[in-house]
Amino acid sequence: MSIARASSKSPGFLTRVNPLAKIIVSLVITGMAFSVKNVWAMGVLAAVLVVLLMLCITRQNIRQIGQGMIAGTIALLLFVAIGTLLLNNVQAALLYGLRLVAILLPTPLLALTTPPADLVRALQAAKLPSFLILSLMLTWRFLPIIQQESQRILEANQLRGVDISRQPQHWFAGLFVPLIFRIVSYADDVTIGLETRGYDPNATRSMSQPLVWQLRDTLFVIGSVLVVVLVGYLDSVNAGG
Amino acid sequence: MPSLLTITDLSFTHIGRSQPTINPIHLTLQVGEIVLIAGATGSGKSTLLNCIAGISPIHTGGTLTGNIQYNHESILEWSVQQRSRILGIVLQNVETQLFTDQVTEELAFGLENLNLPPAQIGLLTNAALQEFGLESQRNWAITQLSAGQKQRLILACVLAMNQPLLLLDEPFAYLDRAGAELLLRLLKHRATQGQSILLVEHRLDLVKDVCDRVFQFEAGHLVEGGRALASVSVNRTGVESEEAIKHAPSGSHILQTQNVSWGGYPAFPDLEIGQGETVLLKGDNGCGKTTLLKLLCGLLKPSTGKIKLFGRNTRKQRVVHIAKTAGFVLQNPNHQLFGDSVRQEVLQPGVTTLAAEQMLEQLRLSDRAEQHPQSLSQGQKRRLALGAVLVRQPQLCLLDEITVGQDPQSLSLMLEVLRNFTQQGGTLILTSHDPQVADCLNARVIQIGSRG
Repeated sequence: MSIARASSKSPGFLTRVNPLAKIIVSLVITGMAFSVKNVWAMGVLAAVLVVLLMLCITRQNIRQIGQGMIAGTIALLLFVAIGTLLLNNVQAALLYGLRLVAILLPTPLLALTTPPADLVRALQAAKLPSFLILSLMLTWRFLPIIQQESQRILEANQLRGVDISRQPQHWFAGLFVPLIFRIVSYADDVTIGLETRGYDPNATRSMSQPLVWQLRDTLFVIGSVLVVVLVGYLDSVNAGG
Repeated sequence: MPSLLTITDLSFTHIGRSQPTINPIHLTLQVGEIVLIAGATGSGKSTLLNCIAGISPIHTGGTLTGNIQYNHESILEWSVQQRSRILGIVLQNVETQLFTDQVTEELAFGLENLNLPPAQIGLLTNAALQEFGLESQRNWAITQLSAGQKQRLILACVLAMNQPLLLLDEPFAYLDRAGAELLLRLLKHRATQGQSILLVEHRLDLVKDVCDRVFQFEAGHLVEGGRALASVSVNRTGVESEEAIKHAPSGSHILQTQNVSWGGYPAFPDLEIGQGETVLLKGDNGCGKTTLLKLLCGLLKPSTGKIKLFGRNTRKQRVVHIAKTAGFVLQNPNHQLFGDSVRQEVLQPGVTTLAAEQMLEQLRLSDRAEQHPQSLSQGQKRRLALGAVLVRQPQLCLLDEITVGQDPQSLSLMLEVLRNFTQQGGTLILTSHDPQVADCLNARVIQIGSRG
């Protein structure tokens, strides 16, 4: 068998960090995003997340993600502009915009750096109920599947001479309807596939690579604590700002 | 030999249908026996495997009557998970059975489900990687694998779990010659070690020598005997006259490629293909055949080199423009069929109702015109995907492994339609691991990648 393609990239630092630590830090950051009221503190929080996301996505398909980033930036600017018009207060609009970023980014960041198998191991180690592990695992695969299926539908249409991406009037019938159909059948297909592979949420599973706390996990936690302290400090000294 | 699996009076009726898909059947599978189930596409082969695995009726709905016993104990009340402890199951669409992101993780996934100790999982994983020639891909992301490599991986995953009974639905699909020979050797070896194997396969010429017994589905009935093997060869009607009708390149090349490369693949061979020609791209799993087809239709842009289609460089052309002259039938029909019904799928803008009906008739899909495309069998889906492309009357048609999952009659039907296409001046570029296809279409073979 001839093997031609380059080997996969080695996993990045965040990918190798203990998934439980990442889940806890994500929850803490999301909680902070709701409570911080200072625009500078929120700016730091959002900036850290954006930088981490950028570091993460340089390991993925740069072109696709680059388009996503541009779209995200435009959406954020629009959000802030509309907020300014409605609230007549630039700072408040900026705070809400940055808050939205800080609330939204931890999940994709976690998703990009946590393979499904690691997630299952983390949830097993946390002794979560088995039905919850199965639900989360299916959800974890959901976003990439939607992206993949959308791409396939767009390509299938292109191959028939129809470029839906440039014809918004055809998005509903040409993209959303088949996508919804695919998503519905996805749940069934994955459940069947999981069961045929012997996955039983109520049965005990072993772990081929048991989770072990390592130096990088400690460094990650220390780094996260420093960010949280800095954001908390900025929020308290600029209270009301 | 003691019987491991006993099926008695098994009948199954799909939800919403009045007639059973499989009529009462009896089947026993002895320890260490390999049994082949053959039959036309959509005849009920996969339904039978689904009934044994518990997928039907637990997940699909429908009505099942009769009994299925494993070691003289009824398993009808068992869940799919419970059955998976004794049954190693490979489904037709392997993509639905892959869950992790990486090859080694995928192998470990099933073994973790069996609650094996980590040290044993490591040993079994390494052994499976070696056995299936996947060592060099051990750290690859699943998305990097070709269809054939995914097929190898799921087979490695299931065989590593070592259940006493294997249900394999078209396990040879997408496998190259080396992969198919390897799997045949493994199945024979596993059978001598006491594993029983129930096999659904259309490549009968490939598997007939390893099977102890052969059954054929005929009108919902399971008939034991050699009739299936008698019809191994596809209908070669018209092949004799092909020398006369063979379209020699008409002087001008419709497709020319020069120094084309993409990703980590070695440079693809330069192609010069004339009108009316049929070209088979041959190569081992993972050599880049699908990638080359995607480059030709513009879905991918070459890293180096140029592709000239009808005299125009494709680099600056959009896919929709290329699609006006070149049609592409994808490897997995599920990725191409998004219409509300079979008829809708072929009745595209610019296609007349008459042309659509004729295409459905030619591909024997008229009686299913109102059905949803996803309700068809895999083989029928492939025929529909082909029809949906050919009905647009492209000048060039790219076909990626479309012969997978076709019984001899259905394959003959498809080949006949393709012969008509080339006789009318159309050009075909296809990939297939089925050696009969190149013969029947009188194709010029071009080797991609190094010879495996």
